[in-house]
Amino acid sequence: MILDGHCHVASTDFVPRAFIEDVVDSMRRRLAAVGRAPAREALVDSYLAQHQDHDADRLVAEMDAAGVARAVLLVPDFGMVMAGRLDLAAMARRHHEIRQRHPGRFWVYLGADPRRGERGAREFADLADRYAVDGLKLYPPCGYSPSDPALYPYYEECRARRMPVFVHIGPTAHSLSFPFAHPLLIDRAARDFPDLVFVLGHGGVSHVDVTAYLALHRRNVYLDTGGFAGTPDGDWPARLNRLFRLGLNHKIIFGTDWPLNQLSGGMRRLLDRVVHGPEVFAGVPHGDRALLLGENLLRVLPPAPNRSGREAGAGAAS
Amino acid sequence: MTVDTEALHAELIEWVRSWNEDESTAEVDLDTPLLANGLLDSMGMVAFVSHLEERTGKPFDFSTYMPGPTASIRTLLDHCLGR
Ligand SMILES: [Zn+2]
Repeated sequence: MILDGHCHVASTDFVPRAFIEDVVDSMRRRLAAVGRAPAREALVDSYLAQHQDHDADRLVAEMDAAGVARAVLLVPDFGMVMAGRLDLAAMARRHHEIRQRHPGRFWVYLGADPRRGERGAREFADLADRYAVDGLKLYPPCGYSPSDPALYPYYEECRARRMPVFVHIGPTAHSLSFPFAHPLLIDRAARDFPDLVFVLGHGGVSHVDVTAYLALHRRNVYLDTGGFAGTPDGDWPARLNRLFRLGLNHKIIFGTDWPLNQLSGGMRRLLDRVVHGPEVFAGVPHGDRALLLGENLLRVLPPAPNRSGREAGAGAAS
Repeated sequence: MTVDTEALHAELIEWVRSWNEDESTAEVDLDTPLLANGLLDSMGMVAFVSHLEERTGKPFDFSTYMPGPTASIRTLLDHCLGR
């Protein structure tokens, strides 16, 4: 059984146009360097056309083709820095409908931004209970540290529901703030909330020297492999293999960051290479595969069904 | 816009060859799987689809077809031309 701990619905309902334009500008700069830059407007239109999977039907077809049983849908809150089509409540409702449309295929981590204050924390908790949300998704490059005390009310809500906190780290859209995306910024919060699980999104790809010792020495810090195939040089199987030989396989959660690879052969091509290729699991203890490809994720998810505020018991912080 | 398909075929094959700067030993023809054979990566696919749109004057409809590992010059062009 393969579980994907890091996906997004490829829809302009959830990804702000400004974010897509940032991605387009980076791609155009790379193409310009080799003398092939298309017109910006045409490229923006092309990327928007690739983000019309509003009900996740195409994602489910990709998962079926790739043998992925179930995936986490991440819903970042970009609302404080980029205009989006829907507010957080509407995005939560839409993801709930997606789950009803595709029963048993998705978990959902809902976004938040500490600048929405205590009211935002109460709204997050209400939405989490109403829609049985499974985790909190943070995007610190929007302009805050994941150890900002303003986040602590959100963390209390997560602790009460035994929900993990997924924190983006590393580079992102060029208009956002990179210093807030450094993994060491999690340290304060990880110490203040020892029974709350923090998953460093892209931690298996960016700043691995730092994320690896955080995962080794902080019992409640995990890494995610999201974006592993997004590097331009195509050498990702060897890098993933190095990651899986660091002695950390009880703390790494496999994730693709779909729709990142939709134009390079999709999830099936990616999973074929991960699962059946000669490189990724070379020299990795066989039993670790099940941990990496699903069991670690199941360990950090809240007890199902996640309905309302229970007190935290012994979680996955081990 | 009418398209001289044969001339366009030759031009697109040449485009893929020049994208690879003749480094690829794989023979390129209209039916070579571009991703599976490593002739294009995701950036190459973005560039190729953009070039197709420019040359045909038609937007590539991603809602009905997302290029997979078996996509070739022929399947991509046919899709772009709505065939
Ligand atoms: Zn992501």
